[in-house]
Amino acid sequence: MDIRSFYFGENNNLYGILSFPNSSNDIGVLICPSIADESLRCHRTISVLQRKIADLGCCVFKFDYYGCGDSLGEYEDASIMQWMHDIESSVAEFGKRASFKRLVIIGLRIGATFAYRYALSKHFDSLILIAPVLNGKTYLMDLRRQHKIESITGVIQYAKSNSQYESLMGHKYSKQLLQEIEGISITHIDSHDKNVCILEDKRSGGNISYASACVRKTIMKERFWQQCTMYEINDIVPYEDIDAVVQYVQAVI
Amino acid sequence: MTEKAIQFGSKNNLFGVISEPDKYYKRRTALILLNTGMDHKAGSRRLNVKLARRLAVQGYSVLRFDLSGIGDSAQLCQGMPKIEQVNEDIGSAISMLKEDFGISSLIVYGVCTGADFAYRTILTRSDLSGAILVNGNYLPTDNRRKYREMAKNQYRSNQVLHKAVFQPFRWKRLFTGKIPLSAKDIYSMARRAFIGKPKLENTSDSSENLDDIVSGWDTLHRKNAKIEIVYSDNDVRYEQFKIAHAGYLQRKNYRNISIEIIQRADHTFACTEAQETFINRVTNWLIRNAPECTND
Repeated sequence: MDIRSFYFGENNNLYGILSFPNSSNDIGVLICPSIADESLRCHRTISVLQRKIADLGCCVFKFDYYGCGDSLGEYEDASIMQWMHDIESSVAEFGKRASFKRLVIIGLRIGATFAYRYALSKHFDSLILIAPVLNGKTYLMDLRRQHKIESITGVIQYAKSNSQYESLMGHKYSKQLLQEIEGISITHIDSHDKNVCILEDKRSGGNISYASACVRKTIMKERFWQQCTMYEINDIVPYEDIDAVVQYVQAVI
Repeated sequence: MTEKAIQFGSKNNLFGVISEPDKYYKRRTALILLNTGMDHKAGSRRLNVKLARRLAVQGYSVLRFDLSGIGDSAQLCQGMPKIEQVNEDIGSAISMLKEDFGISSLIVYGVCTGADFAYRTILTRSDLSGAILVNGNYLPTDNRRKYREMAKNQYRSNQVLHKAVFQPFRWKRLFTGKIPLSAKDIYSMARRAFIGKPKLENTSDSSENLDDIVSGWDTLHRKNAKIEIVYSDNDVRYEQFKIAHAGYLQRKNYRNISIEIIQRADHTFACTEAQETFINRVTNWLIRNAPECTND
């Protein structure tokens, strides 16, 4: 397997890693990660996932959104509009650098929400949504709650927020970004006559309807994108969950 | 300032990003930022990215990369002791920086386990001129557990209780429902705060191996390596450091080893104000200790 890292996009502002398999099967897999603290905790998981899918013969591309991970920019300057644009840039770059006929998009958490939004208007062949964020208000409430719990237990210090930014778990969220996240509300997941698979954790649910063609699976034993209470370390790689994703990709192939 | 993705190592298995200053204002010293524990090269709360960019603006080349088996870098040799693997990876980074970027003076930086790796690496390598060690413990593995338990107890009494019990606004927030805690949350907090491992009452036995533990600082003094030790005041490892090292270093007063404490900071600098203070302190220390420019 050949793996390459590079900067791409407008002003070379996005960081991506592309895996080429030893023998290609004409499938390209784009991985849309989560953001902020979740992206840090899931980074190794996503790396392992990338390698395992590449071992199946797929070209796999993962990238960091603007202001996240190794990409340029600051988190406080980022917006969902920018990140949606980043997905478009990534698909274009992926198409330029690798040759494939079918595009599979895998999204994790809010990355899954972005991937679904992207798929509403653009071409794709299969979509795998891992624990997508379906309600932005609930997502922010969880984040604020986690921040408060960690600050009261002394794990982190309270940060001052001002009229422009809110500090949550060590990241500055601009008012615009908070509003955009709050605006996320998905009540129905359509399949668009394509393969759509939703991998949920046990606590997912709510008033969501799904197109009958969507495949739904409950796989997550633990919310690996958050601090895990059952493990001392928070950087676990949940191999069983990864294997479930890999199996689905294999089924698509 | 520019950033470039790079790959190096024996099989190109190590992934990194180098932040480079503008050519007309480049300093001789470069930094190697190691992973914070198991976090990838961007660092916890993106601290490595922010630090690298600030230092690059100040004229320093900064390489942040994933050690083997962490982040994007693959583990090639299974079964190799971790510290040997780390030493080999850092050796590859040094060779690459010297050959491809013409850098002659190098300082290694690490937070948490990264600080321990940086400490152990600079003890054995002659091609590093200094180290910035942040929230590490610098203890041999066999002693680590004992000191950790001692420090945890100290930490609990010093920090958690003071914070949670003696700050009325926290009670107010809890009772007015501004902190929406479930019974499970309260149980988990209480467990973390009060139900720990058995308390080590006698701390005097810690002196029995102290000579071995602190001898590393003597070695670094003899090497005249420039060392900056940084601690967050709200980090359990700071208590550990005070128990095992601080007294010795204060007595010795080595001129090449300095200690900085960042107020209102936790282990991974989650508070954005603390991040700013930390980055400023590190930048100022570097400018004082490694100011030479390439055209000097």
